[in-house]
Amino acid sequence: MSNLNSQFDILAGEPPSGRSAMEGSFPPKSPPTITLSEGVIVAVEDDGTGNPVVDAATSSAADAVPDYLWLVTRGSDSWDSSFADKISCLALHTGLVFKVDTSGSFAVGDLVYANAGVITKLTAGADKQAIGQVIESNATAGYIVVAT
Amino acid sequence: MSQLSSVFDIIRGWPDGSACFWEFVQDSGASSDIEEGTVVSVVAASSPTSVDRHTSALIGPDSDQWDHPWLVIRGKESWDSEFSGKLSCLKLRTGLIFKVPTTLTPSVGDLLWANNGAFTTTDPGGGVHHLGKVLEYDSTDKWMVVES
Repeated sequence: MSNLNSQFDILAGEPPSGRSAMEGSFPPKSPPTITLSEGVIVAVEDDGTGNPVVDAATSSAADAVPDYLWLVTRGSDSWDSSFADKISCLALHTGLVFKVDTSGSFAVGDLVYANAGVITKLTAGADKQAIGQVIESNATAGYIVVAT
Repeated sequence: MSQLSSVFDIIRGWPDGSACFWEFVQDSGASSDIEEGTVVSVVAASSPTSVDRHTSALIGPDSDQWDHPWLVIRGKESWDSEFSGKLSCLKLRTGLIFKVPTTLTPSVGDLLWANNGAFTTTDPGGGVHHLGKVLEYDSTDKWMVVES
């Protein structure tokens, strides 16, 4: 969304047009595990001094306490985010439909989870909490649409 | 909502306060026209993405994940849905309160699941997650208000 060559977009749920989702803005962990670009799934953690930062997240086990994960909507790949040293996010599971680049293979109906920040197809035995469901997949253009 | 004789209504969550709004094609395998107030879910691997009547169940490769039901708010009973070939839906469990006609005789506080697209108070068991709760029931006019 923030880059002209990006396919990432929030299709439903972004304030103020939708009842988003909860919007939040956090500093990135220093250094982050990966570049926290738009479309990355992150979680809030303590920076070691009692302050919240976000870093790439991996979904917990299916039977664990439910995760609180966020979708990066404006990340380190954007100038304003870098300038402000803040990552803009929307909370998952609160009514979002978003489109994200992928090189993976997905089908409509697939469940997805976060694997080190990357949206990944939930396969048998993965034992991870799903973050949403694929409602559109376009392998040619290299994107999926996820509802969460 | 789309018909003067209908009691169906979205009380909270639409249009500006939605939840998560999306439009889907009705699956060609659907047994009959899908109308407002029906619970649907996406049909796996459908292309284009289509929906059919939903029955509550755990889903995913290990059948241990929450399902992803949607509520049809404009279905085949409406002219514009017929014209566009799409069903307008709101994602359940994302902050909705709606009124729907019912043949059930629920009590306030009853939990609801879906059975072939219709609401039911019968827990299918096995830890299947409910999709809403009855807030109000009118035994005279046979409607209920549901939060989801």
